[in-house]
Order: sequence, then structure tokens, then C-alpha cells
Amino acid sequence: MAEKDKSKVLCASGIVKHFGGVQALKGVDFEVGHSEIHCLCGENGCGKSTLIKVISGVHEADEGTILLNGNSYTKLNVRQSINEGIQVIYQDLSLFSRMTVAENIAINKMVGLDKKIISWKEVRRIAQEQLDRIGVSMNLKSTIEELSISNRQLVAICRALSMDAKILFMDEPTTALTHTEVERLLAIVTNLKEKGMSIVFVSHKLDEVMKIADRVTIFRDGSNAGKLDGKELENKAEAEKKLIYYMTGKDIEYSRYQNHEVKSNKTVLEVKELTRVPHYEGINLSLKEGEILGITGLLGSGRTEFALSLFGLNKPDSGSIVVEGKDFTADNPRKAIANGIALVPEERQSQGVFMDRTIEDNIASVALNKISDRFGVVQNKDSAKLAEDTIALWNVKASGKDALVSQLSGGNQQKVALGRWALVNPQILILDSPTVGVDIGSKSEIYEKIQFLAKKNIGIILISDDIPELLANSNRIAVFNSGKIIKIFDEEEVEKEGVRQEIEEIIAIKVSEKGENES
Amino acid sequence: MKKGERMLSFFKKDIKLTILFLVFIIVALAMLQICGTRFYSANNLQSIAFQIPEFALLAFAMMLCMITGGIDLSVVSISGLSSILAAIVMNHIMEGNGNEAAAIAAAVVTALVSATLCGFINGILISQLHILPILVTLSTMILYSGLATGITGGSGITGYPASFLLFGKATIAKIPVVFVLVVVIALVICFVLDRTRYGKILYFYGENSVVSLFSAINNGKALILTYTVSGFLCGLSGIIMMARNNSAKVGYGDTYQLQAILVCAIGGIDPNGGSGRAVGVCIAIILLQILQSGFNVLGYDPYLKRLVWGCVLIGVMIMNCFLFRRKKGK
Repeated sequence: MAEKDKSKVLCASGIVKHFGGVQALKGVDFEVGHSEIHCLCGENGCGKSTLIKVISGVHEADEGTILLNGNSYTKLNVRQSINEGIQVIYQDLSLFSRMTVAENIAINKMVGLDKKIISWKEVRRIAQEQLDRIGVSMNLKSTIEELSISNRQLVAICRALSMDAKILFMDEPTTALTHTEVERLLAIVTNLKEKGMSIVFVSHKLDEVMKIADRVTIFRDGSNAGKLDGKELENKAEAEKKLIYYMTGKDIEYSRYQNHEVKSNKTVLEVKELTRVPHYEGINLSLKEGEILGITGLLGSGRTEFALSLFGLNKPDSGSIVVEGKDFTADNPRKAIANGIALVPEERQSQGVFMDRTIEDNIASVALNKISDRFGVVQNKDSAKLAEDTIALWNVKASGKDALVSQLSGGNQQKVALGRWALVNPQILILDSPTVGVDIGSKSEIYEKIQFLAKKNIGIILISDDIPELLANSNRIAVFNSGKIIKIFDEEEVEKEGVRQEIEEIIAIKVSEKGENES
Repeated sequence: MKKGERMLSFFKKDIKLTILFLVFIIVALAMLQICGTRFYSANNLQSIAFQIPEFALLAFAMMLCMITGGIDLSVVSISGLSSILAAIVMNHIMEGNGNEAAAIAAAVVTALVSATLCGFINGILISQLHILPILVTLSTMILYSGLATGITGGSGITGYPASFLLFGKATIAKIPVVFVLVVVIALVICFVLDRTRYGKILYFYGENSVVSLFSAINNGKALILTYTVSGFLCGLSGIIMMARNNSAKVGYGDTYQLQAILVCAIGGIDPNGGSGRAVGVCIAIILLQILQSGFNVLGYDPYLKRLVWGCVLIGVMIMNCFLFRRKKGK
């Protein structure tokens, strides 16, 4: 046993972690070998992030041991973890956005040195050294806010390197990157591995995983669901299937069975040459009654900004929005609602629902006029009934209408967010990333509800990163890139074989000079 | 039995309020033990009831702003400025034709309108220019009291008609009229916060203004209304102060400013906004007044008074903090 473990830099076994009554990790094992890229996969909420936090010493495990470089720990704190060479790059990167590149890279090391006076020469030396190690040149004096997301990520990597990282954890690093940026990142990561570092890459983008992983570990519901190693990864198609099976516990094939025919020919929304610099320009779109229009594109491609404009929160510079034949540009969400446009925002917890209020309050908040009399007095009976009806209709799993939304699972929170907007009887419903952080079971329920709403002749705009999800649900798909719609796939094209690859390529191409200015 | 259960679940639901209520009872009993009937004499209770109203109105004004996650540092300045304007109008009419009723009516209207306007200005600055409430009301606090000082030169305006002063002294069945007025206002505020559309919006905005924006709630209108109502309550407080003191003067009631914030905090209003109930603030106001009055009865040193008072404030807050953290922990 001991012999075998020597090749491992990290060996966590039987890790159990509870949060209150919820068991986030149910005794998982995880090993990382010397100089390897290990991908950690799983659905949202499967315990990936919890495991990272246990290994980095942020959370203390309830049970289990962690073996790091031959030293065994049952209780690991952050300092010990860093001393053993663990570095984590979280999704938000945790950089100081108003400080310079040099400061950000060197800060952790400088703090560690415990010097009272900072030598700027030293700061620049440390920063330059790390940048050289990954072979990237960058202006040390520019502040983080001035950098592109991909360059910010490189700064975070350099900061980790400055701390003599032996194992680098990267939590979904490619979410906001373009195709070329992803390539660059993967090349850097591979290069680091060759220099003897181990990298744990958390991702659920299968193609990336296939491209760089030496080994893959898959979690589901806080347990090990399976793993794939070298040989199994050679046959990509086979491996991809296995991966999906391990992640979801079933053979999921997104099928278009859920998609329905659009019966009506009535156009409810027409957007002409809508422009708001620098978010988007020259957007032309139309939406029919009962149609589901998918919109995709990278973060920052203009898709969310465009949706907000429809909802009256991001006033366009020029162009027109025609709703049901009437020219209309919403100045504020109240006007948008009055004209039958509703939007479920992208960030559920900070925009979509009041986390610390009850389900009833959340539902009441969009229907205050419905549940109050003409003197503005809220009728508690009406409010309770509305909440109970919505809970029943959307199958929200909760102890009752008085449960706080923060106590619900991601999927059920999202059902509350969707349910409250469906109440206002919109003509046009915009859903921005409605299944992010939602478990697979709730996902399919949400799809069914989206289809159900479309059948009730509501025009739906579905914004998502998940292309299979769009293909399964939408009648047409518009692809945004750098503020423009590059292509709208019509119903026939959506049905075609190989359309997924085509969409992914359009999403990732570099369209304008915009991207080049940044690097 | 059933009633008891309901009571228990009520207390479980709002731990902060329960604790506050227990502290209140302990303090009230302690007063009985220490000062006995001297404290619970009709005279002393009446004097407490006379002292509460002017401060309670300022505390309510503060409470509304704090529920939105803001603060109103200008409450005392507004009540000072509005009472000075009212006093000038009243004395002017009295010197002119001497019609008492007209003078009083004009003074009340002046105080309420000017105070409401001051609050409205706060609301406009906060909601339309998106300046932080603490900065806006800090500036207007200086502005309003500066205006008041400019008008009066710092001296008090006195000599009101007798019937106006009666308003501050009158009692119904030994209960001061001003106290009855404040009780009615407190009940209205409780009802508005708990049961009306505006009350709900206030809490929604305080909890998360981004979500309320996405919920098509008119954030701007809610804020303006809140600070305007806050101003109105300050004006009312100003009138009561005038009537009770027979004087309007810059700087009167300055200590109320910070006390109002503290009373709200003790009463369970979260300074981050979105939670806390008017009932809690009412209990906290009475608690504070009992303590203050108890020390007066005992004739303690004012320094000791402040010391004990400060300890109670900190004690309640530490208790809230621990309870809250434990609740979050699970």
C-alpha cells in the first residue's frame, strides 16, 4: 500500500462532510498522481466544490483522511494545505480588481514572507518570474479591471505558481473564454504538467475533459460515481457516453420529443436594428406566439444585455422593439410587465428571488396588485392561496409556503423564480439560463413547464450555454458573438445532424478586432 | 392548550422579539424591586407617557428608513427646522390679528409641510441620484440645522398661545393626549408594515433592491415615499416638542438622533435592511424610557445612568448576535 501511494501527491479517502442535515460528501475517495491532469466531473451540487474546500482546508471534514506528500491529516487547515502545495483558483478568481497585475501575482507570497515594508522591486521580480514560467508577457502595471477574463485567469495562475504550487485546482476555468483562449489555457496547463505539476481540472465541458485529462473522476450526489483512466479515455465516443452515464446516473439523450410545433403565425415580438454600444448592435429578431427561441453565446457576447433591454433595464441607443404590432421600448420593468414581457434573470440568488424571505413573499412580490384591495391592504388569504397554487403547479418541494427560499435546493429555488413570473400572464417570457445550478430531475421538470407555457401560446426566449438543452427545447436558435447575431438556425436546420458542432464553432470564433485589443 | 401552542410557535418564529420582551419584563420587575411604588406611581407613569411621544416619532421615522437598508441622520434637524418655521408663523399671526385658532392651524400646517418637504428632498436625492442615504442625510442634517440657525441666530422662539401649550399638557383619564396620538400612529405603522402593499415593498426593497427591481417594483417611488413619511413624522415630533417646551430652538433633542438608531437596532431592525418589526421598536422605546425614568426616581448620577444604559444596549445586541449566528450556523 505504502509503496503504491508514493506516486500520489494527494490521496483523500473516505471523506464525509455534513452541512447541518445535508450530507454533501458521503465518503468519497480522490487521488491525484504526480505530474498529471486529473479532471473532476459531476453535475452541480454533486460535491465537487465541497471536496476542493476540504482539501484546501476551508472546510473541515467530518470523517476521512487526507494524505498529502506522504503526510497524513485528519484535520487540515488552510495554512497546512498551502504549505503542502495546494492552490485553488476559484471561478470568480478572487483577484483585487483595482490593483495591478504585479501586486496581484505577488501579494500572497509577500504576505507569506511576513515583511512589514513592501519592496516594489521584489514585487515586480516575483510577478515577472511567474509570467515567464507560463511564457506569457503582460504589462505588470495594468490593473485587473483592464484585462480580459482570460488574462485575469492567467494572473490567478501566476499567483498560484508564486506559492510553489504542487497541485493546482481549477474550478470551471473555461466558462467565459472564447475558443482560442481555451486553447491557450489548455496549452499552458499541459505545459505546467510537463514541468512536474499536478492539475485538478473541474469542468463539465466534455470535449475539454477528453482533450486534456490523464484521468477522470466523476462524482454524483456526494459519492464516487466512477472513474476513467488512460486506456478508457482513448476511445472518445465511448468515454463520453460513460462520462454522461456516471454523471447523471442514466443514459441521457436529449431528444427533441419535448419540442412542439408552432401552430400560430402571429408575431408577438419584432426587434429591428436594435443597438446599444458596446453591448450589442444591429439585432434583428422576431418571435411568434407559442414559439421557443433559443439564444446562445459566450458570457459578454451581448445576449444577456439584449434580454435586459427587452425588459426595460438596459436602454437601447437605437432601433425598435415592436410588441404585438405596437412600437414599444420599455424604460423600466414595470412598463415591460404591463406590455406582457417578463424576464427570469440570470443570477437566481442575487437577482431572481429574495433568498431570506418565504416562498409566499417571493410569489406575492410580483403579484402585489392581485392580492391587495384598492386601499393597498394585502389580503392574507389571497396571498396564501396564490402561493399554495404556485407550489402545487410547479411541484416545488418545500415544507410549505412559509419555507425560506434559501432553504430550498437550486432546482426548487428556480421553480419559485419561474413560477412567480408565469403568474403575471406574460405574452413574452424571457428565461436567462434557467437551469444553471439545477439538478437533473428538476431540469426535466423545468423543460416540461417551458413546453407547457409555450403551448399556452406564450412566446419564450430561452437563453442558455447548454446547447443540447437549446436543441431539445427551441424551435429556432440565434447565436450571439461579440454583440451581433451571427446566425439564426431555423426549424429545419435545428433538426439537422451536426448542428451542435456548427453552433459551438460560431460561438467560439473571434469575430471582430474587439478581442485582439484586449490581449 | 391550543392557545399556548400558538404562543410558543409565535415566540419560536421571532426569537429576537421574544428576548427583547423578556428583557423588558426583567427590567420592569427590577424597577419594582428597587424603587417599588415610587416608580409605579401614577405620577411617574404619567411623566413617562409624556416623555415618550416626541422621541418615539423620531424613532419610527428612523425605523422606516432602516428597513429599506438606509438611515436618516436628519430626523432631529428636520423636526428642529420645522418647529422653528412653525413658531415664526404662529407668533407672526398672533402679533397680527391675534386669532389663536388660525395661528395654531397655520403653525401645524407649516411644520408638517416643511418637514414633509425636507424628507421628500432626502428621498429624491437618494433615489434619483443614487447617493448613499448616510451621505445624503448627513449633508441635509447640516443643511437643515444650518438653515434653522440662520433664521433664529441660535436663540429660541417662545411665547405661544395657551391653547397650543395645552396640547402638550392635556390628559384624557390621566393619559396624556400626545401619548394617545403616538399610540394611534404606532398602530397605523404596525398595520401598514404588516398588512399593506407599501409595507411589503419596503421589506422587499430592504432585503434586496436588485431582486425588487427585477420584480417590477417601483424602487424609486418606494424610497421617496419612505423618506417623505419619515420627514412627516419628524414634523409631528417637532410640534409636540414645541408644545411641551414652549420653545423652538436649534439643537433641542440632539441626543435623540443616535438614540433613535440604537432603539431601532435593539428593537430588531436589521441595519442592512429587510427585517425587523415595529412592535420590537415600540418595546425598545418603552424599555429605554423606563430605564431613564427609573434612574431619575432614584436620583442617580447621570454618568451612572449612561453607563448602565450603554450596558443594556450592548447586552441586547450581543445576545442577538449570538442567536443569529447560531441560527445561521445550522
